[in-house]
Formats: sequence, structure tokens, C-alpha cells
Amino acid sequence: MEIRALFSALRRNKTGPILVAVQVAITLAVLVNVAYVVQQRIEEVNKPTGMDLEGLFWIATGTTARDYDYAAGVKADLSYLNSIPGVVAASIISNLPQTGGMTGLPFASNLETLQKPNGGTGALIYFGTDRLLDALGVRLVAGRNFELGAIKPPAADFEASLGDWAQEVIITRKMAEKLFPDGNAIGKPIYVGLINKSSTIVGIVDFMRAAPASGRFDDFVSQIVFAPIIPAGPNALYVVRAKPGQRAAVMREVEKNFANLQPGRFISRMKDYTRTAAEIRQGTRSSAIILAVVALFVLAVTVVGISGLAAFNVTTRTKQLGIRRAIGARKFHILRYFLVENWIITTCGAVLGCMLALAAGIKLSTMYEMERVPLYYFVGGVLLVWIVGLLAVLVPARRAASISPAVATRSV
Amino acid sequence: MPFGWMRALKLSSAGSTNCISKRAKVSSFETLLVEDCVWLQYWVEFKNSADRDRYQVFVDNYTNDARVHGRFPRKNNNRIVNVPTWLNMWDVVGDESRVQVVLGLVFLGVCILNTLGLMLAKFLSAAPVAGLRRALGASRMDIIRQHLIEVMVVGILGGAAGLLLTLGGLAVLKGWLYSDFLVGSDNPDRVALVQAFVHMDVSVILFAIGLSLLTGVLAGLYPAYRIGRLAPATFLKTQ
Repeated sequence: MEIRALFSALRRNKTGPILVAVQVAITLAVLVNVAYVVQQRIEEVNKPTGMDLEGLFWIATGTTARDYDYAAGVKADLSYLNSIPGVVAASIISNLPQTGGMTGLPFASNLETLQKPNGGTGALIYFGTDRLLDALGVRLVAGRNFELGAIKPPAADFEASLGDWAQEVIITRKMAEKLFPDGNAIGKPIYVGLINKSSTIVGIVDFMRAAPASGRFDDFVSQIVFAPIIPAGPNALYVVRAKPGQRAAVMREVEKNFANLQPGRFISRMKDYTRTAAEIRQGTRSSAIILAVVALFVLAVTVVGISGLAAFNVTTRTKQLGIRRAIGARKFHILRYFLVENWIITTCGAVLGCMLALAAGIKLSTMYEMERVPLYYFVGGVLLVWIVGLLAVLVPARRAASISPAVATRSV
Repeated sequence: MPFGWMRALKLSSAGSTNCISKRAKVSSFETLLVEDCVWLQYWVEFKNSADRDRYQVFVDNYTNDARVHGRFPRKNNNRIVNVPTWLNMWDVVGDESRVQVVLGLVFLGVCILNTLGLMLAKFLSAAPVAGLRRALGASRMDIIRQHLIEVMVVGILGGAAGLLLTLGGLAVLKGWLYSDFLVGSDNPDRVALVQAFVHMDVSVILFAIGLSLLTGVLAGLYPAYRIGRLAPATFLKTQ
């Protein structure tokens, strides 16, 4: 092969190849990092929630009546909601999972841990009735559900609710593993920081993730403590789980009947959970799409660059190519020459690009608190750049190969 | 609603309420007024920075005075911040947007490199014409000027096409990103209000024109210089 001629040609006209190599380098750095970030986003968005999002919907109520009897109202609302034939279970809830609203407290298996600064394990807390787990669609895998008698009536406000903390709680398995790494959590006391209370763990829920999250927050959103407390009024949030396929019908029925059930209490908002869960993920999803689209555009521009350089080289070398063909080079040799030339340029760019990608990746990982980009992303990136580079150069290279030997005999 | 009504109607506040004394128990509106709690933020409009400095002194004097009577036990930390600083303090813009801006600039960089390469190729393949012009008496500056103008015209045309694309992109953003879905409201007025942020104004257009001119210059300077530097004879004799 005419390697020496190839290098000598590259040496003589450095500017074009250097420009293309730098483009390839930047493109590779962008591709590797964007691919990793996008992959992380997709993973974050698609992580299971443990909830029955397809069957769930929520209702937020408000009241205009000053003397509205909240405690009695909640009782009546819940007995109505649970009596609808298409409903599996309905409960009041202190915060809606899969929305921005979250409340957390530190917990520990012993008092000493809580007394240290920043001691204890953070967990999200959700108040509700004995139907809460059924309503969310989460699975109790050990212990029992709340007893009816253990449910605390609504207090004057949120602080007062915390002051009258429940005697029993149910926690997620993730939380149980954090608090009691070596064994059964059922029946053990759990201490609550900031409000200085304690309860007994009566049940363990298999799994729930309250919101999409990544990095160190991923643990936090699946460490959950459920407490049998009716949240303070006067506005209430209900989660209702319908039987498969009946959600829309149940929602229509609730909308029709709910207002007449109790004068002075109205539905301020109501939404199905498929939509609610999608909404909180929409920002992440959009940014992933934007990043991916921009990265693909960068790749496209680089393809144009590679193709342009090759096309220029074919044009300026037309006469020489004709001579080569005339003195015995086959079409394949011409094609190979351009492919190899381009491969060398792309590879130089790829090496530089890997270094750039590494530097950008370190910066990004500190910004997003995520892991370094794994090695196989670099391998994949280099392979992609090689393949795309070869494809980009194929059209001009074939044009070069089709130059007739007769060109050599003409003088322009 | 006038602020005074809050007291008259005994409205509760929904924001965060931080009390100096940990024992303070805010169970009603009256206790909120009696206890030493922070539950209000103030907006003040100043005519100029001198007014602002005077106001800072006023606030400091107020807290100094209150300290004599047992409030604010710590050293003064009264800060008057303007809106941009406030947005910075709360990191409103966020890393996400910064990454997108950096990615956009990188994209522009790749495009400049690309244009540079393509322009260089184009000029060099038309070098005999430039050589002929030089031979007929055009100066180096003439050649450089001619090619620089060519690149800038390309840049402006690209910028104009980019503006059209931007219009299309904004329509996509409106219909897709800022649909009632993301705004999280079924209320068409509210959706329209949010969508109104997605628009193109004169400053964007001017910025686009300026940027495409700058891009043209950046991409065209070297190719124009290269073509201007060539000796006319080289191109006249071959081919």
C-alpha cells in the first residue's frame, strides 16, 4: 500500500485534515458525555415506582366554609370513595408522591444515633389511613397493616400532627435494611428525630420510590415511613386506586357526586397518576431529548466536514488520480486510499477526543454528582466515529474511484 | 390584596416560618405576631444606589437598636440584594441550563471549524481565478477583502436561515415543551401566559445577525488570508 505517499500528501496539506480531526475530537467528546447523561436520564425516568400508576388518581379538596367539620368530612369522603364499586381502595394522604411535595424526617433504631449531629437516616413520611398501602398499590411483605384503632385523628395543623405522632409505623424494605442491617425490623422501636418520638414498626412494604431521582437522592426517595395519621385540614388530599380499566369512569363519578356530598367542600384539583407521574418526569425527558438532538446535529456537521474535505481532495487530485489509474491502479486501490486517509484523520481526532471527553466527563461528574463515564462509552464512541467517518467519505471516494484514466491524458 | 387585610382577616401564611426561639409554638395568627418569628420578606424599590446604601444603614440601625432590647443576638448580617443576585443566590438557572449553553457553544465551535474547512477548500479550488485577478493588478488586500466578504455573506445567509429555523423550533417548543402537559395546568390562559415567554424579539434577531457576522469572520479570516497570500504565478502556470 502507498502509505508513504499518503503521509506525504497529509503533511503537505495539513490545515484541512487538522480541522477535520479537531471536529472529530470535539464531536467524540460531546457524543460520549451526552450519551452517558442521556442514558442516566432515561434510566432515572423509567425507574419503577412500586405504585399502581395506571389505576391511581388523586383529588385535592378545598373549602369555603369557615365552620367546615374537617374530621367528619374526611370520614364521610373516605367512606364514599371506598364504597364506589370500581375502587380498590382510597385513603387520605399528607403529600402526593410523584410530585414536588415531600416531607422528610430523620429516623434511627436507637436514640444515641439521633443525638449525634446529622445523625439518623432520612426518610420521606406519608400519613394516611389503614387503606393507604392498598390505595397506593404498594405491597406489604412482612408484618401487618395498621390497626383501625391506631389511626390518629386530624390535629390542628401539621406541627400538631407531628406532636401527636403515631404509635405504629410501616416502613419500606430499603428503610428497614438501612436501620436494621442484620435482621428483622418488625416489632422493633423506631426513633424519630427533630420531634423526639418513637413508634413500633409493624409492617414492611416491599418497595416504593416516591419521586424520580438519581445519585444519592435515589436512596432517599425509596426510604419511606408510613404513619397512621389523618393529616391536618382543612384541605385534604386523597389517593384513590381504581380497578384495572375503570379509572376514567370512577373519576367521572367522583367529579359528579363529590361536591354534593358535603356542602362547603369542593374539588380544587383532580388528576390521574399516569399524567402526574409523567409531568414530574417531563423536564428530565425534555432535556435528554434536547441534549441528544444537539449531539446528533454536531455529529451531522462533522460528517459534512469529513465529506467536504474528501470531496475537495478528490477535486484537486483529479489529474493525479487519473494518472494513477492509467499506470495500473485499480478502482479498489483508489477507494482504499481515501478510506485509509480518512481513517487516519478520524483516528487522530478520536484519540484527542477521548482525552477531551475524559476532561469534560470529570467536570460533568462533579456537577451532576454522577459516576465517571464508563469505558465502554469511549469504545462505542470511537467505533461510531469510525463507522460514520467511513460512510461520510464513501461517496467522494467512489467518485474518485470512477475517475477515468483518460483524464490523465488531457491537459486542462 | 392590601397587606393590612392579612391581620384583619387573620390569614395564615403559606411560606416558611422560622422562629428565633425553638420553643416558640405558632398555633395561631396571634402567636405568630407575638413570637419572634421570620415569616415575611420585603420588596423595596430604590431610585439609585445611594438610596440603597442609605436603606442599608437604616436597616442596620434598626437591628442594632433592637439588639439593645434583646432581639437579634448575633452580629448584623442584613443583606439587600437585587433580583439578579437573588436569582444567583438561589441557583435559579441551574446546572442543566449551563450545560446546554456550553453544548450550544461547542456546537457553534464545530460549525465554525467546519465552515473554515469548507471555505478553505472552496477558495483553494478557485485559486486560479484569484491568481488571474492578482495578475491583472488586484492587490493582496483586494483578494482578502473579496473572500472575506464572501464568507460573511454566507454567514449572514446562514444566520437568516437559522432565524427561520429558530421560528420553527420555537413553534415546536411551544407545542411540545410548553404544552399544558408541562405547565401542569389545563387552564388555557395560564398555558398561554407561560407560552408567551417563548418568543423572538428584536434583541434576539440582532444577536443572531451579530453572531452570524462574527462566525463568518472567524471562519473566513484564515481561508481569506491563505488565498490572499498565494503567489499569482503558482496558479497561473499549472493546469
